[in-house]
Amino acid sequence: MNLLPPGRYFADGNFAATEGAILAGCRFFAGYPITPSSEVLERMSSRLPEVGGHFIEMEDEIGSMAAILGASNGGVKSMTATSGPGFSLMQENIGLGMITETPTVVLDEMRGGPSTGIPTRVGQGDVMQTRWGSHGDLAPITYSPNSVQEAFDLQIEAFNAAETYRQPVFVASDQVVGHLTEMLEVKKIDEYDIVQRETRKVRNGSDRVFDYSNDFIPMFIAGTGFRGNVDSLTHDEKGYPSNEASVEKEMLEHLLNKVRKNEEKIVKYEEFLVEDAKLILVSYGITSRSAKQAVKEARKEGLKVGMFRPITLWPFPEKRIKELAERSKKFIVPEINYGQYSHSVREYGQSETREVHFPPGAVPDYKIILKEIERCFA
Amino acid sequence: MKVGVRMYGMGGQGIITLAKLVGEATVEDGKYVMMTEEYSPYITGGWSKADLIISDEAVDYPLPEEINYLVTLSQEGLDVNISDLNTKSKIITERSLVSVPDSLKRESVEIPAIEISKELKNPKGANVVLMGAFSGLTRVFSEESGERAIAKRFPKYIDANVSCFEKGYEEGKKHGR
Amino acid sequence: MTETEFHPKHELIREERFPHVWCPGCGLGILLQSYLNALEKSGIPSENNVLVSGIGCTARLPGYANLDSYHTTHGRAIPFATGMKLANPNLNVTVISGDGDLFNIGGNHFIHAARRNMDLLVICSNNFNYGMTGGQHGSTTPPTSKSASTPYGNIEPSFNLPYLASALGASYVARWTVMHPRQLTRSIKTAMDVKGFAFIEVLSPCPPNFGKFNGFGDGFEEMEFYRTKSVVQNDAKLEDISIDPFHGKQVVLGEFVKRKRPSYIMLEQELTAKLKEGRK
Repeated sequence: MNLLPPGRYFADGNFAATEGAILAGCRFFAGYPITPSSEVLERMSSRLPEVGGHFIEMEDEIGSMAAILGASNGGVKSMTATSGPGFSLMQENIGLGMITETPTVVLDEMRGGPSTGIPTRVGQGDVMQTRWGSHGDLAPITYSPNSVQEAFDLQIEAFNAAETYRQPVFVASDQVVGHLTEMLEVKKIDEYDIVQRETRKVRNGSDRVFDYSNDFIPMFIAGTGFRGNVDSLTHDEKGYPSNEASVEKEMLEHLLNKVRKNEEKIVKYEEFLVEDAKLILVSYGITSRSAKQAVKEARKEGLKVGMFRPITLWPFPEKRIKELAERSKKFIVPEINYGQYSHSVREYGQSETREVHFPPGAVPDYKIILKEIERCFA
Repeated sequence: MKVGVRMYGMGGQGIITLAKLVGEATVEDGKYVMMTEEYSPYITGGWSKADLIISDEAVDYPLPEEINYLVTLSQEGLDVNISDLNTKSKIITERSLVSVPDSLKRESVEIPAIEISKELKNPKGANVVLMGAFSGLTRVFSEESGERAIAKRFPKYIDANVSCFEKGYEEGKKHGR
Repeated sequence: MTETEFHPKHELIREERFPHVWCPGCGLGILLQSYLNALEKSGIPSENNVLVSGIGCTARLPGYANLDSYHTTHGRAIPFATGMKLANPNLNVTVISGDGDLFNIGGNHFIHAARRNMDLLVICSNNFNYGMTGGQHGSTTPPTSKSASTPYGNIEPSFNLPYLASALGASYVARWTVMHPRQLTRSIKTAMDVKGFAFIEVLSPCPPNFGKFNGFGDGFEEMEFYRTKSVVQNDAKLEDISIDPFHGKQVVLGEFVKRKRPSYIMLEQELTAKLKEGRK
């Protein structure tokens, strides 16, 4: 099938994300060139035809998002890659993916903003956009890779989550992870768990398009004889539009609960020296590598500090943050923005939560984080 | 072992390829390596820069805390990076393109990479000569790993590039410990 | 008089969803009927047909057909359909949407799909205004006509859709009104076999909005106006067929373009075959 052979590679994050997606079964990519994710689009244009997939460069990101939803309903695992401005354009159709329960993956490589911002330099300003970006109530799933290895591995997990929970899933990467080159270890394909899509074909009697009492109901694929209606309007289980508040409640609670009820299974995190920590850094993405360095340096000074790294930003790792809050009572959240994830840490942790703001543009200097740690212990 | 390396050149000189080759050879050697790249905002003709961190252990912080080696193919590369060097840093230059001031001569290894590549009838191979010189000087990765990395990256031009690498390696070795 | 228990098209419509949302005198019922007639006559298995729409009155049409139907976001039916067609080139994917959806908010996607000669059939029901939101003007509203947002008359020129589609390279271009159901049905059936981008504009009355604002008593009166004002002319010079019926101009209908040009799917399949050949 012309997959990337197993082995060790000196590769960048965009290479890794592309190959991870292909290994996960992605066979359709629609996108629009945008720094710093363009290399994903370029590599897809050469790789997908090799593996029997389809690539199309669309006229804009709105069309790209619509096309990957269409492709997914046509029976093919799909994705797009973009950055802030393009991600903003995709938001309406991300909502379409949510309400129609269409699996797909959106890789957003964060750069400086707002607006065009600093296209070539790192930012983490889209974190809340992956949570609340599209209008209405959502229960998004967002992965946050901090290395080339994770750019590969989490792309696979994102596809698996998209197929399992039937919704668009985000990978909120950033410019540095996209362009960073480091070791990538690729295992044999049978060592990966790949969620294959279950589908319902011919409709049996009163089969419904959706089932609001069931978190996991296989989708139907266009053209297989199901004759279903898939609608951007609030719809009942038959897929038919409705103006009734009761239908909205039923549909919406199903959409939210299929993720909320399974948070324990979805949430992933990594911890570093939290056992005896009196202070915990909560740090994700590329910033976590600076934060880890700061923890190591602080430990040399005898300061009892640890790090909690959410690998899934959303759903929020509520349970674990509450446990850590009870033990440590104090958090620092360093981010390449002026305070986004920190709000959720404060909300759920109900503890003193300090923010360290880094303007978009560079990998955070760990010494600045170290200073804040020292201040907390002073 | 943990070393920081900065590579700097002008667009078209193959400095990023050089950095990638060093990284690939290091991976071949089973060590950890990380590279960040940066370019001037000009599409063509501007500078290119790569920072590598090479270590026996996994590296977290992606920026080099010190530059132990500066490899430059341009005068600008020496001038703009000099303030990031420390007293022990070594400088590897292309001899005909960079004039090293007397004050830095002792820390410098000036390689006639272009001349060597022309002699070996591989005029595009000056960057591979410098790769060899870096390997010979630092022994960060083995000669064999360097050659394997070259074979993977240039499967059609293995011999021409390996000979550049070997010649560079000898040059570098003269200055090594 | 014989009584039938079922609608004559009961296998192809979702009877349980009737009555539909459209107003008395609306032309969309005729368009639905014409599409289903064409589908039956085409001999294409109906399960192979997929309908995609954006937002608006016309965009509700797919939901009444007993086919796989996708009611997407405003203006985005064409890119959604593009993704679906590429994912499974064996599908017959038809976009049925309104003028506002396809040419105002979605205009960019239309021009690119036509340029690519994407293998889609796009049927645009043109009622010259935004019906669902109360009759505001759009890019197809004829000059000087009135709407909820052009109370003093429209000062903007309007799109000439067949001319636009032809200029972009569409393989098939036609224009009819809902007062020409036989021609429209034949045209849809023809377009279903076209390789590449096929476009049909269908003029349709909007009695409570465009009709009311422009002095038509009811839907039938508006339909009659289009019928008496229209002339079939397949070889019309497309740059001359803009719609301007309030200044004495005839509405020109017909099958204007039938051209053979490699479609996107053909070119993509060629490319894939070449790649496979190269690897051998």
